[in-house]
Amino acid sequence: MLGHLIVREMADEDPDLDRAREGDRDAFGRLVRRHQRRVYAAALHILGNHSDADDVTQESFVRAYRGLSSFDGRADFFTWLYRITVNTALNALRGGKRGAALQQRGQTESDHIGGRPESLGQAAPDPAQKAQLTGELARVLDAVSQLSAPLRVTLVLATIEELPHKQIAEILEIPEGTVAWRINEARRLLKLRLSTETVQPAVAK
Amino acid sequence: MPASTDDIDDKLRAAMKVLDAETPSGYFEVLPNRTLARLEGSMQMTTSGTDSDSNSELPITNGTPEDRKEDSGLHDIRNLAAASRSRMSSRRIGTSPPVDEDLLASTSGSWKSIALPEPARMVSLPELSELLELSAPTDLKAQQKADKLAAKAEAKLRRSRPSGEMIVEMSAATPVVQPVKAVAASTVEAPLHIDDVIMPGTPGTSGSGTAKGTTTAAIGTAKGAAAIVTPMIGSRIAAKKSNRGALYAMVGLGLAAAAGIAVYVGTRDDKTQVATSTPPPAAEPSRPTAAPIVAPSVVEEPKEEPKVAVEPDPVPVEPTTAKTVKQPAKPTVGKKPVKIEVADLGNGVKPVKKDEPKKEPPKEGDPDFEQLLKDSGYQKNSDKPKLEKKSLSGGDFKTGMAGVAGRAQGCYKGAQGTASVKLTIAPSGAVSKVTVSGVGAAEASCVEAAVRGATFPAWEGGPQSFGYSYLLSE
Repeated sequence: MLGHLIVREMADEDPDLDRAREGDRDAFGRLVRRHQRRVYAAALHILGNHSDADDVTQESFVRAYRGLSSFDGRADFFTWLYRITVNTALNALRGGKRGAALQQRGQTESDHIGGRPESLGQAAPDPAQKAQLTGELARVLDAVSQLSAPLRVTLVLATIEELPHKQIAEILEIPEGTVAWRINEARRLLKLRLSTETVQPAVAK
Repeated sequence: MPASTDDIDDKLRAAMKVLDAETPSGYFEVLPNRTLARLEGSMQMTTSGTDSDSNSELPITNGTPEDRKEDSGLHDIRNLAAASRSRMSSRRIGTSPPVDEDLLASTSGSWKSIALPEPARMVSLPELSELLELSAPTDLKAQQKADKLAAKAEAKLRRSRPSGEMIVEMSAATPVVQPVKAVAASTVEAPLHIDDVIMPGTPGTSGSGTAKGTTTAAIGTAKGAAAIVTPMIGSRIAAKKSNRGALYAMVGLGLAAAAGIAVYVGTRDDKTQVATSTPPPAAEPSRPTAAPIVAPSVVEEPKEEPKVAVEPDPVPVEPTTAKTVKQPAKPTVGKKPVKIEVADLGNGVKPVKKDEPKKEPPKEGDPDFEQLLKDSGYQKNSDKPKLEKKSLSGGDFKTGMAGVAGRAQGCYKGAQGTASVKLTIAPSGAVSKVTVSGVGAAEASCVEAAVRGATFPAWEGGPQSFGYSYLLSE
């Protein structure tokens, strides 16, 4: 009559995580290297420009380090870190100073598109494609920048990060129904603005 | 034609891919180091104790805050008390006793009205508290400028005002300047000007001989000396707008009192001259007759106060009045009376400062606060040993659970199943909460009891929750 002991997967069995909790900076540096691309990508998609994404990425890691001692391992470390990142980015958006970042970049930063083919493994577009993409990017990013911060974040998490509604609801601490409504509303507004912007130049001409 | 949902998603993805492609090359190679550097900087800022930083950048936690060790409320009270104490001590300036603050407060208003020319009166002077806050040293030029302005205003006032608003202790008929001999022969209440005594070199004041004479008059009577202090302080405030005047006032007050006593002792032999030249103090009628009190200028020897000396119970007689001589201020100026505290005159009764609030000793029945804390079981944080372990690792958890594995495995009662255990472990290492599901009630309570007996190493931080499963079978 012997029972079999089954130990469930422990979320906090990462040795780097354990060492980082005890104050090992090198171990925390390894954690940063492991997760930095996804954290940075999430911040970049939400904020829309490199400098703000860089700031939020670093801030998220700093906050994560400070909160490591209270990370209880109930969730996956990256999920926890991702949540910190999204909330930090959301705070940054609500802070106002970054609100206009996306709005401005349509004209100022779109010229640099495709200039760094080595980054993130993206193939460099050819010149014609680049020119077309510049116009598309400007319009889409302009439309996204006009969305409110909650709508923008929810749309990015669902469309770009491709997270399920349930996980988005957990990250943003809102009901799943609200997630669905926000995504639909964001798409509706984007559609409206993109179609308006498409029609307007024709009328003007 | 409006774009479809898929089109919009595609466009958005394409735009974001382009955004991704804009990431500077080599960015991710340097990001860890930059993050660690930022972390280092933020940790230094946090440890340096900037409140704003600690408030604005609260760590994101999903457990109990790390620095909160107990919930008795004393934590907050202590923090509040410490904050208040530091705030009050930062407001406190210098070492001036309360009597000087009262003096300053009483003089500032009157000097507003007389120390400035007419147009300047329309501009309100800063309040005393503001003046005191200006104690930080300003640049030399500003101070010199303020001195010049004050001197000018004073000279102008002297020219324009005939009577003694600026002249303290001067009768209307008395000339402004008197020779030293005349002062000694006729009256000790010679005309005194603040600059004659305190600032002899100030432009617009009398010559050196006059200064000497007036100074002699000032120290010849403590009444005059005390009365000097008030305008002097007011003048310093009006001129320099700093609390340096208070310090000068303290020094001047002490010097004047000491000099008055010294001169009194020196000239006491010539008692008849002093007695004839000193008018009776104006505030004398209100004094109780039981204690024969004299002004410092005519201070009697201790043997002349037999009632105080032989009084068995000095408290009802108020021996303080024998030591503290209240000098009435000039009614025209409207200042508060200046108290001159004279040292023990040798009659065996120590002077008592009347204005100081008496500190009540703790009563017999009152328990000590520290004792109360101790009785309530509260322990100071400093008493707690700091644990090196910051969290409970998986290995620690397994070890602890292994200790009760045998007992848990003995909970099989014939029905096979997986007992899912969720447990929360307090930082002390004790199991604080256990939930068992997936098996029958009897097995669940058995497993719960077994798990509650598990112990883990203590750590610094918040409680941690873990999941654990037992397959109960034959």
